[in-house]
Amino acid sequence: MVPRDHDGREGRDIGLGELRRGVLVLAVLSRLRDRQYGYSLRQALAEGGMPIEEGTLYPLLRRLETQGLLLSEWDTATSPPRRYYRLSRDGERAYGELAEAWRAQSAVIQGFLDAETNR
Amino acid sequence: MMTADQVIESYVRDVAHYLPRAKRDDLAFELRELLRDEMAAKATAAGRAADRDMALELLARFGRPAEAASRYHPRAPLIDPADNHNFLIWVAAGAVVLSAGRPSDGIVPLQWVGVVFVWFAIAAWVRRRRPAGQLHWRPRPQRLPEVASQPATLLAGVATLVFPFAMYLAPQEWWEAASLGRSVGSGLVLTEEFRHSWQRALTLVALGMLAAPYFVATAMRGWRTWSRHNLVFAHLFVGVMFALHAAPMRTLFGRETFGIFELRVANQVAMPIFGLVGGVMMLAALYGGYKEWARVTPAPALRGAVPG
Repeated sequence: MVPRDHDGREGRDIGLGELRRGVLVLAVLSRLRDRQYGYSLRQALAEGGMPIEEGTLYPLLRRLETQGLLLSEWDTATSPPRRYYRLSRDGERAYGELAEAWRAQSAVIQGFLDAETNR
Repeated sequence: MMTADQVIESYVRDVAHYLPRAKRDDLAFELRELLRDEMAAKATAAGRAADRDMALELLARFGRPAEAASRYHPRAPLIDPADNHNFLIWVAAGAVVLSAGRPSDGIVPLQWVGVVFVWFAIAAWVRRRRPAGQLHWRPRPQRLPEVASQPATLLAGVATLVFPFAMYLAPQEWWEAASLGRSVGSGLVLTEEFRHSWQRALTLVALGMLAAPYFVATAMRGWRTWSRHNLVFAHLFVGVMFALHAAPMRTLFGRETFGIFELRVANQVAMPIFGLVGGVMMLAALYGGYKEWARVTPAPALRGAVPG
């Protein structure tokens, strides 16, 4: 990752993008213990401080469903009908593992940051 | 003027067009509803009714329909992006070779692009199906020009002197010696004009330059950067000179044409051969130049104590 502009903004933007992409799945899984449809999930994530582009989130839901981490169903009782997503059993397990990995990774990074601050 | 709903419908239809038939309607239905939700929220935030421009602004964030569809249903690229570099090199090198061979026919290089494309597409498909199969990477020993076999470079130098240099210098005598006296009459006797031409003098210099780097490599027990570059230049020099031989020879000032051989038919036979050899030599120079350009400096441990 080599920033091309003089102030390194492009490099920083790419870095932030990579960082957000890395935790995207975890963030989505964390909000799907209760069923949500695409737009309501996006709102929930944005309200929680993690706005995600619609063009990224909606296909991601489908991919996670294909991978067996989410279940989905059409609710035709609502108007208009909505496709609701929630964690599957595998999704619950994956979420637990990812959350644990995130905490461990976060502790490692925090250690690096603390060491850098104390230098 | 289209309404916001019509713009969304058009977009959904185009996205669905790129999706597998089994997923098409289901995904289109969901995408349509999601876009309408987004549109309604946008209109509420703007404090006005949704319109065409608002819809276009929303859809711009999704990207082209093909891009949006590829996020829903990613498809493997026909050519592995990691192979782009090699693909372009093969296409360019092949197109140059084929254009040199048949300069009037532009179709052949295009067919070549197709052949290379199909080959790379098959390779990408095979690698995806069998990542550890025949096409996966394997280590290869590094060829180190810094350390060259002395007999091999000496043989190459002598061979260059015997074959192109001596043959060019005195073709009639060379052929008589090579055929052990069963010569072809006087068919390869050079014209007086050619004997004293600048083209012949320069070509002899070029052929000498072609042989010299091999003797240098023999003496130094290997190739140096400058000697490799000299060899590339010598190939190019010889190639250009031989290509000039494919056209009627002309005097330097008077511009009168003259033949290379006394025998008219010998000129007719030889001129295309000179052109072909010139083309091959120029391609060899191109390949040598590419190899130098693409060369990776070997690790000092492999290179030994020989300076680069």
